[in-house]
Amino acid sequence: MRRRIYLGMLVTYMDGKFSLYSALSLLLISIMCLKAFAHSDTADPLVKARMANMKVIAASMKSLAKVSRGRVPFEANEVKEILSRIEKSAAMTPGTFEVYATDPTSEAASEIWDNFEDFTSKASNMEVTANKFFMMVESKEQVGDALKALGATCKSCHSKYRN
Amino acid sequence: MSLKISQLDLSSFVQTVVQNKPRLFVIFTILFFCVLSFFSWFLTVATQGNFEDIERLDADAVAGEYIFNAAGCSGCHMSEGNSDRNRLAGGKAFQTAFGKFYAPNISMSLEYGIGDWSLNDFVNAVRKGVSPENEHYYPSFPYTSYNKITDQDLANLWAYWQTLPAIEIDNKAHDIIFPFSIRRPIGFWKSAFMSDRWVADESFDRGRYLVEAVGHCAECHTPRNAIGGLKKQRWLHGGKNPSGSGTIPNITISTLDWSVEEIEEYLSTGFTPDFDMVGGHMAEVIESTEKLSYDDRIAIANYIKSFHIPVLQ
Repeated sequence: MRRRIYLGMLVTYMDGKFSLYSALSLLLISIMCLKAFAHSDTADPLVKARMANMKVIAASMKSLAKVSRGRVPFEANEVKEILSRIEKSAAMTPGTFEVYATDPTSEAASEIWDNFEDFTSKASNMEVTANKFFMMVESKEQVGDALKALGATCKSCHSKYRN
Repeated sequence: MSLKISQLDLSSFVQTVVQNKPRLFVIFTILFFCVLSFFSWFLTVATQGNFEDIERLDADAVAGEYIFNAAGCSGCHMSEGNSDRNRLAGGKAFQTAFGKFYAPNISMSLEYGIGDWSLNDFVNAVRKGVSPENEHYYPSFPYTSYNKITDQDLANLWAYWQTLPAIEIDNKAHDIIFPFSIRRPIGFWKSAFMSDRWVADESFDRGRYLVEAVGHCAECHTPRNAIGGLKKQRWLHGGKNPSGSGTIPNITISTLDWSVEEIEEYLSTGFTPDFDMVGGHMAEVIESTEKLSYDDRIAIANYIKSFHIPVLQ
């Protein structure tokens, strides 16, 4: 009986009569196809979480750059707040990669899991650097130094562990 | 049956010959392939050119170091797990559709490197892709870009090279899929894909020199055809990473919406406008571009921002 119904539905499509039923189901299928091909959707929750953590670092660096370039006035407490955010994200980073996960949108190189100790040490370089500047930052020039030093820690990891 | 050819009908002519004069046909076929082989051999022979006039130039090793950095020699030839950019022991692997290439030792080692080379040998390698033993180099060595480096820059570069250390580490043989493992046919490839013509016009001047010659950006950022030649109509349009993972970005103005200043910043620090940080092999490229002058980075950025669909010179 069910087979006859499905066959009936198929015939409804095929005989060219665009009934409301077939129009709606076509629309549904189109939406599903579009969803499958959408680039910006990261499906895997672990990959999503570690990307979000990286974006926190990027946003924080952008805020530091605004201060060092004089676009935002230097406020010690605010700068320390930003550096503390970077320090926390850096500390969290190895944990977000510990469980292997991948996604078509992921740019994480497989070398991460082959060299997890080295990967972890690079994350802690960032943590230590952020902390160092947290302790001593007093001027926008030093914010510029922090950006440079932190950028070097970003690059040292990305050159090996990001595609 | 006569062999008169009253019309230009090659297939029926051949058919007639095969049917009536089979021995003649065989002789002609053998002759044809002999002539073809002779011309192929002739066209693919690798000979060194004479660049002795470059030796007469005054060479400056400090200027040579600048070109050394700009050309990114260390990026490919530096040994893995080593941070000294002057130690060019080679060994890095480059996976391509044709197999795996291993960067050779190009340190001043007499036994394993190029310590026994003359300036003429060096220029032939960089400009013509020909070894001192008159063999073709594989175009994984980007001589298709380097062939436009000036005489003076090559003289300076060679002067700087004399100051580099000799690293006594043997070379790894390439692991290339047959028949690409035969070097001789690269001569054909060079006739088809090697040119000393620029892509952008002369108004780009320094930017063009840095992008198309020294920096050899197109070697990664331009897609290649099935036999590895650059698709110049798709100049800098990026494509699939030949080493397997990910894609190499399209850096033409149709896709890249960064400002000139943002491009300069990226080449200087690796930071994108959103403060993401460069990754993969491009991080190594930034190690080179950060050593350029500010003006040179701006020249590169202007090229990227201003050049349109290539008008081949």
